Amino acid sequence: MKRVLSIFSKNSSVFWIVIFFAFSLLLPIFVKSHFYVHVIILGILYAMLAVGFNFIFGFVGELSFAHSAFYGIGAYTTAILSIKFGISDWKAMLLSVLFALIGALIIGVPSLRFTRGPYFGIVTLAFALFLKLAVANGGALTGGPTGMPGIAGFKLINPFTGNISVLSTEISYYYLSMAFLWICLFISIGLARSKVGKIWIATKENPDLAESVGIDTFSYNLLAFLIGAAMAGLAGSVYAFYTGFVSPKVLDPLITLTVATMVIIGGEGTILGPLIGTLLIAPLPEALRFARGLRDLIFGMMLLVTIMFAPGGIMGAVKHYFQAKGKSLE
Amino acid sequence: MLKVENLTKKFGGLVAVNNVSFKTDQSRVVGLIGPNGAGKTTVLNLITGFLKPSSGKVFFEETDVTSLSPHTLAKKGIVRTFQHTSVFPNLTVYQNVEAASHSHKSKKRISEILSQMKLKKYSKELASALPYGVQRRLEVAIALAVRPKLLLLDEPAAGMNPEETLQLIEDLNSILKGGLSLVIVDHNMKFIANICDKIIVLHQGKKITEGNPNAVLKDPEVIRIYLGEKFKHAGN
Repeated sequence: MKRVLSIFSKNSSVFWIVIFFAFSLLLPIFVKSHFYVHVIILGILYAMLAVGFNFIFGFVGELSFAHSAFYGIGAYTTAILSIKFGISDWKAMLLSVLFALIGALIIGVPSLRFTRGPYFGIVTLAFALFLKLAVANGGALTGGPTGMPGIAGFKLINPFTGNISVLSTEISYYYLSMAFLWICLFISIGLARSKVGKIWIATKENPDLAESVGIDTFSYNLLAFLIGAAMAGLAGSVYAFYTGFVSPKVLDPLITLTVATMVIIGGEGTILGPLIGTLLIAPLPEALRFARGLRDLIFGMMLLVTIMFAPGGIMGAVKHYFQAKGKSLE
Repeated sequence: MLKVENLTKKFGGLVAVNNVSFKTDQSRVVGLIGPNGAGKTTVLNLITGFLKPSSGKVFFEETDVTSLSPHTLAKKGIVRTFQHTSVFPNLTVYQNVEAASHSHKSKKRISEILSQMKLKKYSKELASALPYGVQRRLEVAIALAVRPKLLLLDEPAAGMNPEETLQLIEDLNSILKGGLSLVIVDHNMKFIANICDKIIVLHQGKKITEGNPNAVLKDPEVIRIYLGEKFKHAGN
């Protein structure tokens, strides 16, 4: 029994990741309803956003409101490439990520160098709002406030046969987005356990001291910001391919707020926290469709309860529990 | 080793550091003293890159290092501690020293530093859970892990009782055997006089005088401006 329990405490991440993986492969067998698969795909995209947001917010400790901007840049790049240039394969995805990275460099370099804390939050919020306005007034290029319909499905090229298949079913997008989520997760795990992860922790703990022991805090913070932006851009691109339609709503800073809620409730700065948070929060809008106002109220309440009673989120509480238990066993 | 030339720092209309120049020469331990608001910590911030000077230059080992970032200076061997205790609070003592030795990590070196600063028995404790005196020792251990050539200590004896101060002097003497140089900012005259080869006195942003401890402490102007008041306190 003790041995079984130790799976949870010691290598809990590995254990849960195996469970998640099996679950992610088998899920479509159990879920037949198109509507539920649709909700799950949107949830997976949210999970990608959350895993990316966790880099700057959880590992570095800066609250960036620009996350929705990178998601939107990814979605709009894909939409424009598909509709205006007829590019709707992996090149469109790559360029979407690239443009999200360029956006992140433009806002990240000055804001991370010269601001911290609330100032960083305000600068990134201004960027997100500016971008939303610019796109809503972008005329023919962006389709203005009504957005851009008619994005072609993702063209998957079989590398062995050269056959092209256009993804159209929900199941295909389920596996596509799930594959990307796994890639994001493995990047997250790899970095958190590397030297870079330790440097992020030190910087978050005490940025001045980190700087004075020779850590180039700006570069490491920027790295976290860029990784998060790339993941958001990728999620945006998949969203555009999947739904076939983008509007300025994909640039709404409220998306960032939702993602931040997920990461805080799940446990910021942990590997599993963003996933758990997404699992809890993502289904809420659909579950509470009948009462839209109630949704925000429940979000707020969950956030409040977490911050008051489990400041490290669910993962923080779990760790605390096992630490306390480990000590009492000794 | 360290040379400061006409260093000036203005905050709006306030001149916090006014045309200060000094050299450490061959001195191993230089004390920077002065009453509150004399500009000591500002000078330290200017040398270590946490502030950029309005004018003036800083040279280290004959090269101009003015306005370089703190992490670049740390890599060149200029490392500081902070006036208010500054550690990585949620890391263990071991992890604190490990984080500071990120660029040349060796378990042996970490272990040496921990024993040198008498921190071995705390190595698994969280830094935030340590008693004050031990936390201050950890700060020095963190700084040592960066392999400094020049270590600048900002009020290392602040808040210490006489016993802890003696312990600190002992620790610093043991550090000096490693071949580095120290610049110490402090109010504590006994402490400074005990350990420094050379003292620089600042008052209202300007350098008043410099020299060996005995000469400086007898300087009538220093006594008038700064030490008179302090000695009264010490006499009480």
